[in-house]
Amino acid sequence: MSDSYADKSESTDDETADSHLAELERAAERSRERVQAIAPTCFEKEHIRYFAIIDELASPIRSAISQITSPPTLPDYGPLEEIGRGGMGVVYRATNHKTNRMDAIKIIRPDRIACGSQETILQMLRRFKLEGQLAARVSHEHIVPIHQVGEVDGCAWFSMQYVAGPSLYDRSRRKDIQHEELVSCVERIARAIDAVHRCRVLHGDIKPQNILFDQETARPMLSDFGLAELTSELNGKSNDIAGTVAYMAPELIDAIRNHRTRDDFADVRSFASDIFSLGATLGSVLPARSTSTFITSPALGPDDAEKRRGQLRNHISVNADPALARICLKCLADDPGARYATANQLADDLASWLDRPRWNQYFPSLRYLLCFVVAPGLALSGLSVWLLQESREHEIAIWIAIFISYVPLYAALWASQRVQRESERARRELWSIWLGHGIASVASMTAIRIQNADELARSIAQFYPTCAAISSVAFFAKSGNFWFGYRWIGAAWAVAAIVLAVADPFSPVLFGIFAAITCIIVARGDSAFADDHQNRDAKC
Amino acid sequence: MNTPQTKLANSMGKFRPVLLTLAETMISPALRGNLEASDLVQQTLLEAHRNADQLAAIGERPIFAWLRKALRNNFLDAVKHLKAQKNDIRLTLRCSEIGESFHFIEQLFAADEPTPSQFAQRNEQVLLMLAAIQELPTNQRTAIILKHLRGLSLKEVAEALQLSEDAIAGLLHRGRQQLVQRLDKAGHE
Repeated sequence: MSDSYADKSESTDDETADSHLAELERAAERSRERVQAIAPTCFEKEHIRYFAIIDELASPIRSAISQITSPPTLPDYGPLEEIGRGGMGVVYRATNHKTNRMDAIKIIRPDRIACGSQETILQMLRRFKLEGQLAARVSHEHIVPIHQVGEVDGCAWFSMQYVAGPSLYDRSRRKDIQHEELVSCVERIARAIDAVHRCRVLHGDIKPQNILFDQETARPMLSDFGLAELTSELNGKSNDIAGTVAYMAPELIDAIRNHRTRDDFADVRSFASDIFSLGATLGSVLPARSTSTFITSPALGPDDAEKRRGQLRNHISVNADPALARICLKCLADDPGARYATANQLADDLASWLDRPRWNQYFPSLRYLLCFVVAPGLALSGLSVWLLQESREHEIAIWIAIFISYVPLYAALWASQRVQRESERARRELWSIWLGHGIASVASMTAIRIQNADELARSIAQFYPTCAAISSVAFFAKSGNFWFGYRWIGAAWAVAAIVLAVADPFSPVLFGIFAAITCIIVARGDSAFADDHQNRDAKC
Repeated sequence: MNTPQTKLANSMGKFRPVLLTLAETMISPALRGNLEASDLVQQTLLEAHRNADQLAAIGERPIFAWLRKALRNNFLDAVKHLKAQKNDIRLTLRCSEIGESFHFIEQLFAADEPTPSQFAQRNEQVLLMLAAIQELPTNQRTAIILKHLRGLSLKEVAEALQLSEDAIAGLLHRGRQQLVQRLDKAGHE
């Protein structure tokens, strides 16, 4: 008790100073929200310094204890029930009286957030408000929508759709998710991320914990834009080094480890960092074939990150099939330039992995098939027709030799149907054009053969120019929806029809050579075959 | 004379004020008067002495972790005991909350274990401050704990201590001044 007497006697001695101190105290409380603009005296400076030091040291303990304090009351909402807390805010669940709908509400509590010196609190408030704005800006079926943004008692808050379901992290821990579903989930999230990127927003914290499954529709939803930043603001001086280390791209980790300034950090942060996080997310939740699932501990320092990256790559190559592993590892490339350029490309690759034919993991690309199977097939077919004709073989053999070249063509088209998923209509059109070509050729050969009943050589000489003309039609038809160069090929075939008419008896050989050249030009020229990625190049 | 036993005694002496401050912070207004921080800490340290053989073999950090865990268990036991006695519905709530608060404190101190980074240095400072709070006069200590560790506003602290806001401002300022001096001194040593 003697202590308190001492305190009291002190305070009565200097009452004016105490009331001044009270003013300063209130100012310090307020300044958590606002920057002080007044010029302080020496005494006031001292007060501010003491306050800042003690308040910052006390803040981690305070944020731990704050569990005991009750949440604020929001207009239109019933009692709040805490469902989680992160570095920036607390997430509650409450019913909106007006809409009678259960919403999730995220509130930042300026007095209660972890690690808060006044500067960081201001920073966090700013970022929190930005989070609401950014998340509201992007609308996508796989992004948790924001309903309302507001402020109450100095606490900024926003409400969003309440997604009750388990997170991807939970499901992978329960071993409740298989490769196929997992890849399709990440594919859809990648499309969402692409939408985010197209709005010039970086998500910055993609991880399995932030992918939630809607309970009714089982739809994966991306949430938590807590670390999202507008790229236009990346050039500002306001970036914080944030994100979950386990899913963070190496360039960001280097920036942390080297204690670079925030500007440096902003420089290295890019869309590619989000792609890395997507790859790390997919890789880390891949179900293991033998032992337990690969899950990282949250308390991971930047120094362990490199070791962990190695483990992750190892986990992927052991547990994913080569095609999927290659997709993951491309995301996880150390060099940001070596990763996917956009999240949509990643999504495309994942989609074609999902649609992959089971047998053709090492199936040669359609381009390769066109160059090395279809083209030689066509040339050989022409040559053999000529040889068979010269050696006066049986007519059936000649017919087979003429039309055998359609077999590798249709086989290649059929294979492409197995590996491709997009542009279903284009694929149907290709099929109908080439099927029509085949049928028209057989029909014209039959008709010509009937007209020249006694002379096979003459029928063949008449058939090849006809077939060239049909090809010309086919290529002109293709030029409408496909590669522009097809119309030149079509024109060339029209010329070839005339050339073949005068080239008798070498028309089969010439036709075969023309066809082979066309095949190679198409394989090289048509951009649909240009992508050398195995699963994509079948796209016609 | 640097036997494991004296080392243990040293670290207990070092952590006693830290535990006291933590316990005082954790005792919410609803529990005040029913629970004494010094009792809980005393009990915890007694348990530590009983396990002296086991504790003497480990380092200072694990000892602190052990003490925190013991304090947590004692705390929860005491609250449960109170609940049985008083049949107060509010206490049911407190139990899980206290458990979680300890969980967060664990996370805070566990973060510095693998690498002696910035975090560890900061935690060292936090520990110093928590210990230094025990050296303050009672009223200053309570004011600082309520204001900075429990996050009450000046007005709320004044209501809780039944003093004027001006008086609390004075207590807080002088308390912080002493704490900062203590921290500066430790920094120079």
